[in-house]
Amino acid sequence: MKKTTIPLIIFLTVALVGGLMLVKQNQETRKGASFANTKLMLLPSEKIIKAVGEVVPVKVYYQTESGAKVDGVQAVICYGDELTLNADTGVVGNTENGFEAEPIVSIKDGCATLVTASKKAADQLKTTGEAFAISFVAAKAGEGNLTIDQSKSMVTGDNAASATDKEIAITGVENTTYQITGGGSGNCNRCSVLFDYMRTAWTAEDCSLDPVGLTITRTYDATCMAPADTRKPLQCSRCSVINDKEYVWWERAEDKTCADNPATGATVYRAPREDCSISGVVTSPILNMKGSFGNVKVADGKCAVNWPLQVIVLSNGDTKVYTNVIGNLVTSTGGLNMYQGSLPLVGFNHLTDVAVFVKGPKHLQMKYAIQNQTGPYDKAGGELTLTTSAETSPLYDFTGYPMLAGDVVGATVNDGPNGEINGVDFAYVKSRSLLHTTVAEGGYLKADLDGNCQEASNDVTVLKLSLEKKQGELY
Amino acid sequence: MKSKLFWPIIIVAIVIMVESVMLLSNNQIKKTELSTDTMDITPTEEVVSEEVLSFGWLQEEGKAILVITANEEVAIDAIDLYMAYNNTKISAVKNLGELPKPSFSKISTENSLVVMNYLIGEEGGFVMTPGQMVQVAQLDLSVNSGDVGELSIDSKTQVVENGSAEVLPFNSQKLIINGTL
Repeated sequence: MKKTTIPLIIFLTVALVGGLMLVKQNQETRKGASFANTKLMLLPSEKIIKAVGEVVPVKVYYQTESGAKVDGVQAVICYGDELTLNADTGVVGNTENGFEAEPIVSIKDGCATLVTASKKAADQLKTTGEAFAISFVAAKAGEGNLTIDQSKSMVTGDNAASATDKEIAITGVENTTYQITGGGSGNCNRCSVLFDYMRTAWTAEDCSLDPVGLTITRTYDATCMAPADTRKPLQCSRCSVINDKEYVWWERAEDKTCADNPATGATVYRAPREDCSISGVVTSPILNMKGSFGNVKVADGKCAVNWPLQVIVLSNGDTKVYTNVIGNLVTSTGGLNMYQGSLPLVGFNHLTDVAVFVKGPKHLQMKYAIQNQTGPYDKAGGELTLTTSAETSPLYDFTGYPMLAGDVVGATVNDGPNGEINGVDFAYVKSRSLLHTTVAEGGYLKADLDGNCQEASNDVTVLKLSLEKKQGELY
Repeated sequence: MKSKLFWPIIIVAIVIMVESVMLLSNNQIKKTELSTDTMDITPTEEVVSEEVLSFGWLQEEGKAILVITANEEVAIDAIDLYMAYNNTKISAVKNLGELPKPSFSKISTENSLVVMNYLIGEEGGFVMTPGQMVQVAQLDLSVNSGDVGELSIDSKTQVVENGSAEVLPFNSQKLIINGTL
């Protein structure tokens, strides 16, 4: 009996322990399972050198081993504060590889998380290719690194052997670097505090001090707007009528207009501008458009004036951002307040297939891509055509698809708008509406969504309408 | 004596090995199956922590009811509710009347989400006392025989406190639905 029982007990124990080990090993393997390896790369690999205001294009590539085909990429890209990235328009998925043209993008703590998935069939997926094209904007001079956070990034692919084990391990990343040069010479660089569209550069040890008595280099920058409290109120600017490719600024006399030439002896500041000619013709594309703020009615919108817009134009993957764009108010009896403007798209070199993204100060960003648009445009890119003449460039009417108001705060009430209308925005507007704060005509209140100069219950209603419409579009 | 012990031990050993192999091949936790023409609905705790609110599920035949329980007194201004579903067909979503009518409610088949936005108009918000459970929504659903359906609270979900407008921490359960014959 002893001869058989003891070996059997040992056999039984080994079977039990072995079984448990196998189960445990299987569970642990699944936690970090991957069926193939890949590299993620940022291209170009050589240092990217751009000037302030220019687009810094970067592409995210994958390169798998063993023929593994990629169907999903989550890339976490970190960058310095010399660069900015617009989450709505700055990233385009590569549709040729089957990825969604408008990937999910979230930006936090100097890193952008980009997520996209391919809808192509397994046999059409690729082992090597581009996942995202990113268009950063150079915000200030400096140098830095663009890096992929390997630990937070993820790649999935088609695994013929398993429907669940789809992870492809990221075994290496290749990063890149950039150098942003200022708009002029010097280590200090900022938008002028006196003149709109003017960027100044100078050399000093302490860039926080005003460059009094120092040599200043000036450049034209359409994104620069002088602060209201320091801005020269009588300023004028235009293309030079004496020198080609030159832009000029001056202060007019009180009895003159900007159509008059600068007075004799007036100080004229000059800067190069490639698209200026002495005929005064600007060779940049001109965007003529009119739009409307949702639920701001002509009769009530006494405080919906000079609401600054952010306008982003996109064509063939290139984007350009224009901030603090103020549209001229055009009223329509019985209708909504409308704005209209003619915006020279300086630095934007496309006349066709243009899409325009417009965002008001408390509004969701709206995409406009066709004339007389009345609803969401669900395709990538756009169909707008422009010319370089304000007279001949079409006037695009987007009033049929008003901007949706309600994006007033972010994750907390102390954060700026985050591109969505949600419960936090509602709670903020509701709390403000209970206070019934009022301002004089032309004033500004963040939660005054209908522009009637008061934060009141109607603003809560406006937010609800916006949320309902946007959710209906998204889901 | 020898013959009495030998075969039972061999059988036990074989059973252990077979079960190990089955566990490996199934690659998932075995679920209890019902022998009736209904679904086996098994809530599984996803997060266990002392949060201000807890989302959970009540089950009825062909229905799942989402409930929210307060772990402390709280006043709610808004619930942005995103319920994700997988291997499940949702035929209807109903507000059960304990909360005000949602401003938005939709079954998004394209996104496999049920989206509901509750915006509480009352000045003091929707007040819940500790331990109070409120039925939020009812989902009419079905799961194909042999499939394992799942309902969960998507990460986009947030509950916003009245007054502070802060997002309240919560935990949630998944609902595993085993479609059987």
